[in-house]
Formats: sequence, C-alpha cells, structure tokens
Amino acid sequence: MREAEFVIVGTGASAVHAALPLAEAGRRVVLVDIGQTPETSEPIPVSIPEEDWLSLRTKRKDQHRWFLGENFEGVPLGPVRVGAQLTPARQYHQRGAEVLLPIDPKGFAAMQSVAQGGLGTAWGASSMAYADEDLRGWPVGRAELQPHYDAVAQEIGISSPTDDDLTPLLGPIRGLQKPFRLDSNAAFLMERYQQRREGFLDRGFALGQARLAMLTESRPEEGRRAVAYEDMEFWNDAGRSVYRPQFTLEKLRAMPNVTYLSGCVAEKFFEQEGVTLHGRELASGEAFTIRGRALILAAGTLNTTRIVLRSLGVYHQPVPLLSNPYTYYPSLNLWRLGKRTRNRRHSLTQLTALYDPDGTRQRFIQPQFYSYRSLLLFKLLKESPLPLQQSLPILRALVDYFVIIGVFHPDFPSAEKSLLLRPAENPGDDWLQINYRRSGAERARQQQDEERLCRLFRELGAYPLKRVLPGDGASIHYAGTLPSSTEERSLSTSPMGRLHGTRGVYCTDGSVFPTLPAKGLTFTLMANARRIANALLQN
Amino acid sequence: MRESGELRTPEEEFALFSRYICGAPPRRELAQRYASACFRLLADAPESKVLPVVLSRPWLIGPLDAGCGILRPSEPFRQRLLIAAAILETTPEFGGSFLPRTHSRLGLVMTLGWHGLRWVVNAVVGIVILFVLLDRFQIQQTTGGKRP
Repeated sequence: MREAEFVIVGTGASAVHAALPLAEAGRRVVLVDIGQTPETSEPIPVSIPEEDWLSLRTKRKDQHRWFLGENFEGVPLGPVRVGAQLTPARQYHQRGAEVLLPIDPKGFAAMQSVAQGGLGTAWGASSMAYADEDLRGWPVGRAELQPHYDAVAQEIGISSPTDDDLTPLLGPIRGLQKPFRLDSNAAFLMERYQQRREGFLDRGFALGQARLAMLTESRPEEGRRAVAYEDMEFWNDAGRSVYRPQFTLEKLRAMPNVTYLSGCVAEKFFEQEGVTLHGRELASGEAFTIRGRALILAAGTLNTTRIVLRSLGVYHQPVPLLSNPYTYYPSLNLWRLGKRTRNRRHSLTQLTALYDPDGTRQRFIQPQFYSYRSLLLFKLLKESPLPLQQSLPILRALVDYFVIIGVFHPDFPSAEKSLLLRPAENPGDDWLQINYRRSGAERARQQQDEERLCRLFRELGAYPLKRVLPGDGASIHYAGTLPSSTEERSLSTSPMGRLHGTRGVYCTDGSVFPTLPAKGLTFTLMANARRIANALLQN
Repeated sequence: MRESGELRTPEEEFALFSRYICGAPPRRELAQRYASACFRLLADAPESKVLPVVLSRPWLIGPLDAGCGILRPSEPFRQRLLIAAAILETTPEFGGSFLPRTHSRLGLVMTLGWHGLRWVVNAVVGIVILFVLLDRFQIQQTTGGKRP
C-alpha cells in the first residue's frame, strides 16, 4: 500500500490549487487521476502548426485534419450542442468518460472529463471573483477568500482592467496583468456603452472587459507567452497564453515530494488510521490502495459526489445539484456594418456584463460577448434557413459583425434539482442519475430577465437574431451536491471542506458551493481549494 | 437529363454541390473526402426523398435547398450539402469563398437585397416542388407506385 500525507483525487482546477500550497510547504502529496492526454486518447488529435487562423485557412492543404477532425467529429449536423467550442483537438478530454463514469442524465447535459486537467482543459478562462453579495448563504465571506483569489490570480495570470464599471462588483484582485486588446466588435460595443453609461448603470447593467486567465505579459520561466492574437484559442494555444491546470500539474510533478499516478480510477474511501483510497488501474485492471492523513476529493462535482455516495453506501438518496442556466443569443452589431474589422484577435470572450435585474445585488446575471469567426462558417450555414447559395454570401458579408452573447443565470437549490447514485452488481459500475428540473417560475423569470436584457443589448447596438436554449446543464457549471454549511448534517461539508461525519475527507471542488452565482465558478473553486489546503496546513 | 432515380457517383454528386456552393468543380481528392464524411456522418440517416431528384435535375438544387431550409432543415440532402460546404471551406482553394468579406454599407444592402430576392423566388418554387415530391413519395410508399 502506498502512503502519503495528502491524497488528492483529480488534476483539474481545484485539485492542483489544493495540491500546490501543500506541496510548496514540503508535504508528501499523491495526485490520482485517469489522466487522459492528447497522446493517450484515441484518435490522437492532429498537432496544429503555430500560425494565425487566417494564414492556416488560406495556405494549409491539410487544414481539414484539425478543423474537421480525422473522423469528421468537427462537423456537427444535429441541433446546437453543449460545448460547441470543443473543437476536434479538444474533444479528447471527455472521450471514454461515459464508460468510466456512467451517468443517466435524463436530458441534463452532464459533461465529465477524464483528461489531465479535467474540465479545465476546455475552460473558457473567464475569471470573476465572487463578492459578498454572491456569497450570501455561504459559510465563508470574501475577506476569507481574498488572499487566495490574489494568490491564484498570480499563479494563473489574469488579464483585467482595474478601474472599469465591473471592478466595484468584483472587488479588487492583486497581481493582475494588463488588459488584452479588444477586437473590433467589442471595441465598438464598449464605445456605445461609454456614450450611454449612466443610463445603463441606472438600469443595473454594467459592462466591462472580460477578466481572462490569459497572459498579456509573457512568463518565459513557465514557458508561457503573451497572447499572440492569432484567433486559435479554440483549436490550440501553442504559446500557452490561456491558463490550463496542466501547467500547475507540471510544476507539481517537478517537486520531489509530489507523486502523480495517472491511469487510475478512484472508487471509494474508508477511514481507519487515516483515510484509505481504493481504486483500480485502468491498464491492468488491478486494484490499488493509498493511505493518507487526509483525502482531498477534487474530481469535479459529479465524480466527487459519486465517490462520496459510494463510500458511504448512500444509494437512492437525492442530493442537490446546481447548474447555471445558459442561453445563447446570436446577434448582429448593426451600427458597425460596413466598417473594417481587425484580423488580429483572440477567440475567447471579449466583454462581460453584470446585470442586476431587481436592483438588490442578490441575483446578478452575466452576459458574455464573443465575436464569431474561428469556429468556421459552415456551422453558421447549418443554422440558417436560407439555401446555401444565398446564405453563404450573406453570412460572409455579416460574419464580421456577429456577436454571440452567452447569458449565464445564477442557480439555487430546490427539491426538483438533484442527483442520486443507483447501485449495480459491481460497485464500480453504479451510476449517477440526474433529476434536474427547473420550476415554471424559474423559467418564466429567466425569460423575463432576458427580455429586458435584449432591450439593453439592442441599445448597445447588438441586435439578437435568435434565442438558443441548449438545455439544462449546458453551462457545464455543476455544483452544490455536498454544500458547505456550519451545521453538522450528513452529505454536507464544513466551512473547511471536511465532509461531515468523516475526520479526514475534504472536498474542494464545486460540490461544496451552497449556491451558484452567475459569475462562473472556476476562479472561485481554485481560490476555495487553496483556502482549504491552507487550513489543512495550519491544522 | 438523367432518368429520375439514376444515382450519380459520390464524385459527381460532390462536383454538383461544389459548383452550386462555390461555382467551381473540386479536385478528385476532395470528392473522396466528401464520400468518406458522408459515410461516417450519415450512416444512420433516413433515406432522402429529395436527393435522387436533385441528382437527376441539378437545376433544382437551389429551389429544393431553399424549400428544405424552411420545411425540412434536417433532410439528408441538406445535410449532404452542409458536409460539402465543410469540406470546401477547409481547403485553400475554396476557403476564400467562406472568409469574411467587407462591403460598404451600400454594397451590403445590395448584397442582402439581391440574395434575399433570389431566396424568395427559390423558396416559392422549392416549397411547391417539395409538396409535390413528398406527396408523390407518400403515394409510392403506400401503393407501391400505383395511383389509387
């Protein structure tokens, strides 16, 4: 049996940021995960040359291999699916998850990753801190998270303005990099916003540049370069400007006190003289055990919950599940029509707004503004009811002015939103069943809020053409299954992430979030994981 | 004109679609790529009611594409067109036809107006043909081709 002080399940965003302070303090840490990489997946994604998008498109004869995929997996013929930005080069991260981590989603888009870096390999990099208003109902406040937000921001590198209208709603973060250069669409919308700023703010709508975990200043010592504005972020990121948890994992693996075990599925734990983790090696099928002083579960909300429920023998009992409701609005930047567009840009979100529909600062909604180009035109042709011969010249003329607005709503627990574990003959084959249904009142409120938002988008100059509802779970933000609470009750966690009823099992991912604000969870779950790890060190 | 129901090879089919989308025939290698993509992506697709008609009467591609866009957007014929578009878009020789193009505001209005008008004409013709076609197909299926 292998032994360590801290055993961590997962290598995603929360896992590596829990591991880092422990490892830096000299503690013996073992990280366990399935750890699929592009090289170990089938098929192996084709490596993409380091060139800008336009140059690749106009010069490379073999571009279909990465833009469409070797098996044409980049040609979606069905309705708009979850994770449309998961291009062939990035689809490896979930390949095989449905077999290894079975789920009956019942219409809920439950995306799980088996990759090194977890869902963080496909993260959109939006990094917004929660303010005290967002943390209502949480056992921790912003002040406790603040030093960890600062440390994580330093580790991952966030480009952000420090003095726009979003700053008071997000709070200060130290060590930020300078903001990135806006693309033509975003710069135009921002200008329109500035002209009518007071009116927007009066109606609870604040717009600012996106806070992105993307370098604008190179870090050669980490092998990361500043964003090159090549518009290739959905395909590859040769300069590693966009942060991925694998970068921190590389740093961890270089430390002598850290052991990384990939190709391993963690199955269950039990407590006796510390915590023992049981699992199996995928290649050999053999069982393994690791004993540690503490076990940190950071396998992603869904899989952490699976391990907890299985270990405690809790079957058929629902636990809450949260996921940000998500809507797309393909829109046209009408007043920019006819103006020239700069070629150099990045593909990630350009602008972010926070909208407070009630004026109470308790229920912010977050629209994100993207420009559309690098995901190719044929995907837009599919959505057009026009024949190709007409839609092609029309879309070519308009695509530079398209703005895709993704709207995230907050989510709160209710009895209709849950998941439970169903048993199987072999305990390793039991499966999660998701029963996630938002009430009619929640859906009606979402629609009402979006109608008001659409009026604001039109005032900005972005005219929504269509409302696309990709379905529950489409935000790929999952949380709230083992909510953090000061009350000692089963299937919840303490403010320090300890699973109630255990002595040494800690959860550090989205599973501990009692509510799910619209601001996106990744930055906060990294900061919270770091906070929990620091508390473990002090104990 | 070919007899209705006389199927073309994938190369000929792709060449037809390529001329329709980009106005030029493709090189042979692209046709093979197209055939391979159709095989992988449309293996479980239902039989197309429209495809045999457009293959035998290529002048109907535009109207039937317009009609399907409104009435039957997931018709396998339209999906084959989209696959052809994806193949063409990811080549250096045809990729330029898919890249953004900046027009002056007047040019944009003219482009939208001209193609909008063509769409309306195509759609009207296409919808009528589609109704006739679907009606005939239904009769063929229920009576083995004989009118009751």
